Order: sequence, then structure tokens, then C-alpha cells
Amino acid sequence: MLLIPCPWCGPREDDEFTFGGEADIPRPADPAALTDEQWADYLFMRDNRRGHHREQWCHTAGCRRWFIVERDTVTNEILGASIYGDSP
Amino acid sequence: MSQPFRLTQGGRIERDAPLQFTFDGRPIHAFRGDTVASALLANGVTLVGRSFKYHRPRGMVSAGAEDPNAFVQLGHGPRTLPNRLATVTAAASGLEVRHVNAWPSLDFDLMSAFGLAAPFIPAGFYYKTLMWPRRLWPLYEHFLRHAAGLGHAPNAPDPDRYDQVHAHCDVLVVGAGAAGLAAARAAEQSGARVIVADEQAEFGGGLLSTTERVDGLPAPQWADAATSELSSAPEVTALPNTTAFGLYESNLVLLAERLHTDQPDNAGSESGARVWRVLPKQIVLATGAHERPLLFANNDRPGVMLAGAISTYLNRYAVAPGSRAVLFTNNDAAYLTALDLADAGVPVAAIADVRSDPEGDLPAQARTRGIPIHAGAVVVQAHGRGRVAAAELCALDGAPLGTVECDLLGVSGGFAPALHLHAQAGAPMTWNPQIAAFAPRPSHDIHPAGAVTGQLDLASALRQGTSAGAAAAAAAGCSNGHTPAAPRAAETHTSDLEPYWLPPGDLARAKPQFVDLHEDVTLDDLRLSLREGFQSIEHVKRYTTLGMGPDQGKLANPLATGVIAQLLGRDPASVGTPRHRPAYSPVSLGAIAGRHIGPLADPVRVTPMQEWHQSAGARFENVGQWRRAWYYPHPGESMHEAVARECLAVRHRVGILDYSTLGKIEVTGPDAGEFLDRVYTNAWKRLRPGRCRYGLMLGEDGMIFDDGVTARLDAQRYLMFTSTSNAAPVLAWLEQWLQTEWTDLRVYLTSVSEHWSNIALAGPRSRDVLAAAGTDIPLAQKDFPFMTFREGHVAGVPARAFRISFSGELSYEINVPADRALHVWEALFDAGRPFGITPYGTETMHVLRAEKGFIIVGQETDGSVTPDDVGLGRLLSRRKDFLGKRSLSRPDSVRPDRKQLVGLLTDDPARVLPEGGHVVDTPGRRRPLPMRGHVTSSYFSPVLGRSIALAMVAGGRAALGERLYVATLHDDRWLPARSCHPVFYDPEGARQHV
Amino acid sequence: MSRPTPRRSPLGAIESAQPRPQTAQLSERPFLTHINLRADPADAEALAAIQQVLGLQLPLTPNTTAANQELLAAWLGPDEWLLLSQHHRSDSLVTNLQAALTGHVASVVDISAGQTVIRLSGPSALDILARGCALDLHPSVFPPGACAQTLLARAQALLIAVDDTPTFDIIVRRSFAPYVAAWLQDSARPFGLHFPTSDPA
Repeated sequence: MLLIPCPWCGPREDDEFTFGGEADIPRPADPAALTDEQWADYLFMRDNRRGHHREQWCHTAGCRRWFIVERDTVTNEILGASIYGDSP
Repeated sequence: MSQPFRLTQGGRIERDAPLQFTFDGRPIHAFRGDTVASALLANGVTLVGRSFKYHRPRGMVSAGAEDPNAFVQLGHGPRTLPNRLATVTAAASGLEVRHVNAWPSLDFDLMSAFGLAAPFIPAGFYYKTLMWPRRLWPLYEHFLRHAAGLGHAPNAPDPDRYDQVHAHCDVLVVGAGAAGLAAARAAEQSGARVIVADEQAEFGGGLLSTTERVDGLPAPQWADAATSELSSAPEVTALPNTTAFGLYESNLVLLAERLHTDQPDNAGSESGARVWRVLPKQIVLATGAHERPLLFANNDRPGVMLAGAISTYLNRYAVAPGSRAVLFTNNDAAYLTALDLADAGVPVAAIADVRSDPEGDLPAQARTRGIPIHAGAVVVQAHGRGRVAAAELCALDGAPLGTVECDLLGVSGGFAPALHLHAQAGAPMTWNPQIAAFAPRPSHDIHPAGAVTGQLDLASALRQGTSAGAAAAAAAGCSNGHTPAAPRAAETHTSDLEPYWLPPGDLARAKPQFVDLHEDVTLDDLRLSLREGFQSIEHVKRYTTLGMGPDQGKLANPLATGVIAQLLGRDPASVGTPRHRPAYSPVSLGAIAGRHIGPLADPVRVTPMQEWHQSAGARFENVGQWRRAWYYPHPGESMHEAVARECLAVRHRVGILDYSTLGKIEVTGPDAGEFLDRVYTNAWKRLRPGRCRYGLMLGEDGMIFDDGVTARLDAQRYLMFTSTSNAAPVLAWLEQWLQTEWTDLRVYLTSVSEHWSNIALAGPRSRDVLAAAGTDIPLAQKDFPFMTFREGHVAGVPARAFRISFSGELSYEINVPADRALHVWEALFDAGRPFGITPYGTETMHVLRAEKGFIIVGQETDGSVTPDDVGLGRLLSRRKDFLGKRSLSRPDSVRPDRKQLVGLLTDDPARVLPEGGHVVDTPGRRRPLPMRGHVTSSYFSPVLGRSIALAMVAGGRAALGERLYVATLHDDRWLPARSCHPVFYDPEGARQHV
Repeated sequence: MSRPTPRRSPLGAIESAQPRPQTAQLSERPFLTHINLRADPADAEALAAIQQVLGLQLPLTPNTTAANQELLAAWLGPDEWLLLSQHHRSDSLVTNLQAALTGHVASVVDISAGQTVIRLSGPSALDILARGCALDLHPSVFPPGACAQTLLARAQALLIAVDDTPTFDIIVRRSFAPYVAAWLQDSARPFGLHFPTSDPA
């Protein structure tokens, strides 16, 4: 069980949350201008980083806000959480 | 009263509260305060079971949760509990105790023939030998399952109820021995909320079996005082009979509390056990240490017992586990036992001490008492068959020192900290050479105290406990300025332990020497494993099954680390210990399931019309958590007949459907239209208020994610319908885009799924029914055309009526507030009687939509289907971007041989194709047979008088009319069919426009 | 057409029998007005307009409520509140709020029929809730006036600490109400609490 620190509601158990994958993958401004490879990179390619990982979580059973968690994928230690729009 | 081994005085048993239970049907006399094990020993029962593999006779080794042998079966029938430890089970009147692993009886065990065959059944024997002939495996397995008895599971549902509770505290103290009690007191005095748990029925741990004193009181008396002080503190939860069995990430600790342990086999109780799910801020780990066994030949004989356990039986339970003892040790602890034995009048014939010069207070006292001490000596073999009869001693150089008669052989190989919980969480531990064992390293939120740190004396435990409790409270943010003082005990001078793993020289070859008594893993098995290259401790474990029993290798693993290190010539620190995993000791599955069983296993969601459906005789089907009316059979009607009747009623007259489960989301704000443009494939901004439109939502991969109708309520408000099962995922998906990507869009989303119930009227007479029920909405075609909605009242209730159709008929979907939905439903039904209104369920809804070729997301689509694949390419806007659009031009999305939606008509119109059936060009036995696709929906269409099916077929749209075959699942036959356009009924769509 | 129609609450307004001392009482508070309100917390004018209508300031601190005699506002998210009222009719409250918020980006949605309030009150209320709720509801952490959206067993719920009896209001979606009521009833067995439930299926 992971305690996930919702920036709004405080730490809650992980079953209140939905995982949203790696963060910081902005949607391309003009998808039509991309090659198939560039689009596939946006669509499918993820870093699957060992160590510090920025990822999206939604407090589904709580305030319904999406936010960013920084987690160590080796130790599962959560290093921090931030609200969208705040500087990381 | 035959308790020949009961001491005449002493102990914490209540001699004025006698009780009786049975062991294998024999009456056992006991007192309140006994465990099953202490009572058995008092009655002279030393044989409690047969070993797992060789069926060797086994007796109690310990007096606690670490015992590898004392597993018994409690009770009978549906409440029976397998694999309970006699050493921690309180003796109770009427309790029924049975051995678990002997056949046909404990004293005469046929399986012990395995014991005679032991040299031929080394580790890995089953894997290597019983592999072939493979077809005989079921036979082998049957025999092995019978042989490998681990007790019997109940064969009927468990009538007990199991409780589960969440708990929070500042400080959780695991273990209520000297260190734990001191820690709990210190934390409580600092103002912390405290939970303290101990697996035994009484708090006190080792304090209850020692003759030492604390703060001037006999230790048990001090423990009682500390316990009652804690129990009466308002912010302390004191939990005896409670095992902390798992420590997980975020320091979640699971505790299993045994309830009603005073009742025979937990019977008649409200609840068998309770699991506490504790989230403490800080943890004090006062789990103590397990004494380590020692290796010698036949070290598994009943009567071979850990030295500390002997003291416990003597001092706490007033039981002498033997009448003449030999002790074998490599540290001072056994001397305390020797003194206890002497005090109880049990002669100690010899102490064999590995150390050449045991000095220190305790050996000195033993010497003074005239107990024969053999320094630099070891026990190399236990003699006797059913029980120890003598111990064979040897000098360290192998020189024989003779055989000493005894029926009790106490062993102490030092103490290994019980760091299981700590290690489960992956917390660091270090090799402590002073105790030749691993000890936990403290972390910022886990504070070890007492014997678990490797400090074994009472004074240290009390000191460490006090400071750990205070430190934990402070770290949890509780400090009221109070600095608790540590309780005091006499300081004793102890001499160092000398690690001892293998008997000297060739004596290490003597057989058999058990490392893991539960799993019957011998020293030879470890050697074999290492010789065959399985040298990592984790490989040794898997090769030999070391530590895999329900005792979790509590005694075996710490011993194995040293033995393997010596065999490999390596440092024990580098050998390590097998990964500790929950559960620390067996926990009933029922306790883990808790309340999540039966009707509470998962929410059952129902609509406001549920009672009506029930009284109308509906059959129900589960749609996710929803329970929906499936069909409404008349008496004597089959499902097929009922569905046919409902279908024809809708096609010819009028039907009424409860469609309340659809997801409904209000989309509000100045940018609502722009937002819909981005998430739907078609255009929304120019949809006029009052109008509805069907939309497709794609994932960014271009695959259909959801579909549904959205209506424009006014300039800035839309109402979106989602499919029933996608209601929550769609809302989350939309929120994700709004919150993370399109933060500039001024849009709010609010779920109104449960506020609005949805009643569908469908069929040529639906307009008449709506009018008859009473509405202020003008219903004429020109006032209220297809794909529009109107607000008004229906049957006196504020309503939104949508002229949309999932059946292809004239249809109204009427949304009313859920608290008045049943009233409106009943009003519509009453008004519809003259028109032959018929309630219909989900099955009929599916048939009707399939006749029209309407897809269902999740049935025609499976996450790999584009809009064009199902013939909805016309819904793809060319003038704007939308989620998933770019993916639709990826090479894979435009392959001509993608699976496409087609209809299938069987040659035999009566034959209904199996859903999921594979579609091929030509049947045959060739493997692999090239597949063209699969059937997604298949029904008998009453209005067409024949079967119909929808299928996804590769390149199917360009080849309509082709001959295809569909595999049946059961009889390996191929059903011939022809593909066709997927709209079977009213292809012009005239009926919904009337 | 304005004849009043019967309303049905998901739990049929159940109420437990008179509690024994040291236990708790459970009852449904049916037919309250529930309004979901969305507004930009940075839009001071909008907040002021809302305050004008409600007679109270929306709580801006997460997991808190604000209340007066007529109405309670619970924080649901940084731009989302639940308004609960026995006093106000939902249609007039929606109309008044929408009128006051004309020109502002906001959303006022009536969800009264979509959820219900289960009230659990009495000395055992905390112990009963702890059977299904993972949150720390100790009064030092969750005092009267606190609220939290969380899971109660497997249902989403909004918990509001009402007073220090303690009393909790548990707001659940309509279709989950029978499950939650059954869960609470089962959890309450050790405490001797009995009350009728509607059969979910």
C-alpha cells in the first residue's frame, strides 16, 4: 500500500487514486504536422525510468484533481507531489 | 487428574480453574493459563506430530510462535482450524485438538517408512524422480498430497464472521515483553496515541517466565502492573492475542487478533478473528529474539527443546518437560535454564558448552550449584527412538566424552533477532558478529528495542524500550516535556557467545541432522544444494524448501545462514537470509477477506425502479456493479420466448426500458463547445440548443473509447451521455485533459448520472403513451422532431425528454429526478396499458440495436477498432483536430485488410452463431487456419424471423455477400454464412423519424 | 400538473431503533437539497456573489465545511463545493445562484436526487466507521466541521464530522446507498446496532 500525498487532501491510501502514467508529455500543438514516427513517439514511448520518476495521479475518490507525484521507482519512496501549473 | 509433569507450585496457571480438552480423543487435564503445548507436556505427551516428509516423531521445540513442530488441527467441521500452533493456542475447556501429519495414527504411522527410506529421498527428489512418465503425475500427486499433510481445510463454508478495522496511532509497539511494555509506557506518557500488540494471550513476554525482578517487583508482577496501567490509559489500545503479521510500504502494519480464544474451537462466536489495518506514524519493534537450535544427529527427537523454552515451561506454566536434562550451548543462556531446572528439582546431568572457558555470572552460579559443566564440548548425537534417551558428548577435536542419559536435551545456539517484520518492509539489517545473527538497523520511523537489537539482558531491554518509546513519540510530534524513567533491573555480566554451526570433523557427516525441522531439510540437503550449484541463499531455499513451511523458517533460517557460510567458507554477512515475507505466522483467509464477502463483496447498484422490476418478475444481469433487468418472463415462458415477445412489442406497439444506468455529465462553460470539439470526432459548436447529436470519443491511439448522444441544453451547457460501464472512466478522461493539458478552457464537468433516471419509451405507440401519461411538451413531429430534446413535465414531474433511439423505432428517453422516477415509470406504464405497453430488458435492447446495426462499445469494439472499422468514418471531421485524429492516418490504421463490421446471415436461419466464434474463409483441419475475424453480436431476430449476427471481418466491407464459415465451440463444426450490410432492419431509418 | 408527486429516497428514510447506550444510531436524511457548485476561487466577485446568496463564505480550506442555520457548504475540490440544505428548495437555490453568477465562469447543478445523507451518531460511530474507512477520524484529526471525500468500503463517500457525540453525515450516491447501509449495519453488529435496510437486490 502506498500513501500518496494529494496536494489538496493530504496523504491518502493508494486505492483512492488513479494512475495516469508518466508526466510531462505534452500533447503536440499540431499533430497533423508530425511524422508517423514523431506521433508514435508521443503516443507510445515512455522512459520507464529507474529511480526518480514524475508521474500523474488523480485523486479519483477524493477531490478529483490530477497532480504530479515524484516517486523513486526502485524504493517506491514518494519524494513529493505538485499541483499542475506550480513549478516542479 | 493425571498431570505427572506438573510442578507442585509456581507458574502463572490458575490452579483453581482446572479444565479439560482432548488431543486425538484423549482427555488432557489443564489449568486456565496453560497453552495446549504446556498442558500436553504436563500430561506427559511429548509426541505432537510427525514430520512433513519423513514422518519422524516430533515434539514441542519451543514455547512460542517459532515452533516448527507443534502444528495442530483445532476443532472439526466448518470451523476447524488447521496449522495452529499448540505453543500459542490457549488451552480451553472442550477444545478438540488433533495432530496434523500422521496416517493412520500418530503412534503408528505408515508414512514413517519414508523415514527409513530417508537416504534415498534427498532434496529435489520429487522434481527429479516423479517427472515421468508424465501421465502418471496425477497418481503421484494424489499420493503426495495425502502424504504431505498440512492439516485439513474445512469442507464447508466457514460460519464465522471476521472483523476488519482500520486504526491509526502515533506509535505502534509490536511485542509486549519487557522492551515493548517499557516503550508503550514511555510513548503513552509522552502523550502519544499508542497501539501495543502481542501474540500471546498475556502481555509480558519473557517477563512472565523469568525469576528476575523489575523495579523491585518479581518480573511477572511488574508486567501485570504495566499492563493494567496501559489498558486503562484512554489513548492506548492494548491488543493481546494479536500477531503483527505483515509490514508493508508506507508502514502499513497488519495485525491478526484471535477472538474468543476461550471458546472451544472459536465456536458460537460472532467473529473468528479480527484484522487490524494500522497506519502508525512510528513503530517500536520489540519482537524479541528466537533461540537458535544446534546441529547434531537426531536433533529432531522429541525431548530436544530450546533451553529458553524449558525455562518458560518451568517458570510460567509450572511444567517440567523432562525428568533428567542435558544442556548444550554456546552462550550463557542455557545456564539460566540449568538453574531453573535445578530449582524445580529436575537434575541436570551435564552442560556441554562449546566455549573452552565459559566465565560470567551464570556459569559461575551453575558451577556453585554443582552442575557438571563440560567446557569445549558438544553434543553430537541424541539417542532414543520415540524420545531422547541419552546425549552423546564429544570434545571439539572429536574425542568422545561418553553418553549421558537424559529425557530432555536443552539446546541454545544463541539468539537471532525476530526481525521478520522489519525485513518484510525491505528495511536494512546488519550482521552482528557478537550474536552471530542479523539485527535490524533503526530507521527514522522504525525503532528496534530489546532482544531484537541483539541485546539480550533485561536491564537493556527496559532501557532501550523506554528510550525507543519516547523517541518514537517525539518523532510522531508528541512531546509534553515528560521524560519517562526506565524501569530498573539487575545488571548481569555475561560472557560472549561462540558461533557454532557444524559438528567437528567427520561428525558433521552423521545422519540425519535437521536444519529445518518443519520441512525436513537436513544438513545433507544443504550440502547437495551447494554442490549442485544452488549457492545463493534464495536458491538453497528453493532447492531444498528451507524455510517454506508455515513456521516460515523462524528457527531454520538463522541457523542455515551460519551453516551455509561455513560450508562455503564465506562470511555469514555475505550469505544473507532468505527474503522475509508476510505472513509472519498463519492467518485465516477469512480474516483477510473480512467483510468483503457475500452481498458485501462488491457494491450492488440498483436503479429507483428496482422494486418494480422485481415485482414484475424480471430476471437480472450484472452490468459492472449495476444490476439491470435482463428480461421479464411470463409464467412458463423461456428466455427466448420472453425476449421474442418483448422485441415484437417494441416493433409493433410500445415498450418501456429502464435505462437509468447511462452515464450523464453536464459540460458547462463558455468553452464547452470547443472542449467537445476536441474530445469528439465530429463538430459541436454549431449544434443548436435543443438539439442532440451522436458522438464518438477516441483514445489518442485513434481507437473507439466511448460513444453516446450529447444534447445542447443552452448556450453554455451540454448534457453528455456515456455508456453505462464507461461513466466513471469517461469523466476521469475528460477531467485529465481539462486539468493537465487544456487548462485554458473554461469548462466545468459535473456528473449527474444518478440525479437523472432515464426511462426509454420505444415503439410506434410511444408518442401516444407519453401523451396519455400527461405532458406539457408538444409531441407532434414538427414540434419535437427526431434528435431534439424538450424540457417540461411528464406525469407532473420536471423532465427532459430526448427524441433519440437505440432501437430504430419512434422513441423517447425521458430523464426525471431519480427520487420521482418510479412514480413516472408507473404513470407511463399505466398510461400505456391500452396500447399494450411491454417492459423490456437489456437482452431485448441488444437484439433491437443489433437489428439496426448499432454498435456497443466493448462488444463490437475492443480497444483496437477505429471509427472507420465499424463504418462510422462519416463522423470524422476533416475541419478540426480531435483526440486520436492523427492516429487514424498511421499506416496501420489505413490497412485495407483491417477487420471491419459486417452482418452475417447463416444459411440455416434458425441457427444462432456463437458470439466470439472465429470466422474463416474455408473450414478445414489445416493448422494454423487463417482467421478472417470473429462474431461480435449474435441473436435470433423475432421481427425478421431468423438469426442475425454482427462480425468484425478482415477486409469484409469490400466483399459483402461472400461465403464465410464460423467455428462452433462445442462440436467442432463450421456453420456456413454469408456476409451482408450490418443493418438488418429498416435500413432507411424511416421508423425513428415518424 | 403541479400536483405534488411522491418522492422516494434510496433507503426509504430508514431509522434505526432506539440505540442502546454506548452504541450509535443510524438514519437517512432524505430529500435534502444537494447542489454541486463550481467557481473560480480566484474570482473574488463570484465568491462575493455566492456569499450574498448563501449568507456564508464558501470554505477555501481543503476538507472543511462552512455552515449557517439554513445551509452547509462542503469543500470538494479547489473549485468545487457541495451545498446541502434542508431549508432551501433546490430549484430556487439553483436559479438564484445562476442569476448571481451571470457573467462569471461557474456551474450550478442540482444533484439532489442523485445522492443521499446517512447520519451515524453515537459513541460507537467512530468504531463503526473504522470498519470501512481508512481515514483517521479521531477528533484531534477530524474535528466537527471537517469533511473528506474518501472510500467507505468500496463506495465513494463524503464524510462530514457534525458534532462531538460524535455524529457523522455520510453522503453517498443514490445507487450505492443500499450497499453502504448494509456495510454499516454489518460493521455495527458488535456494537448492538440494528436497523431495517431495504434489500438491494
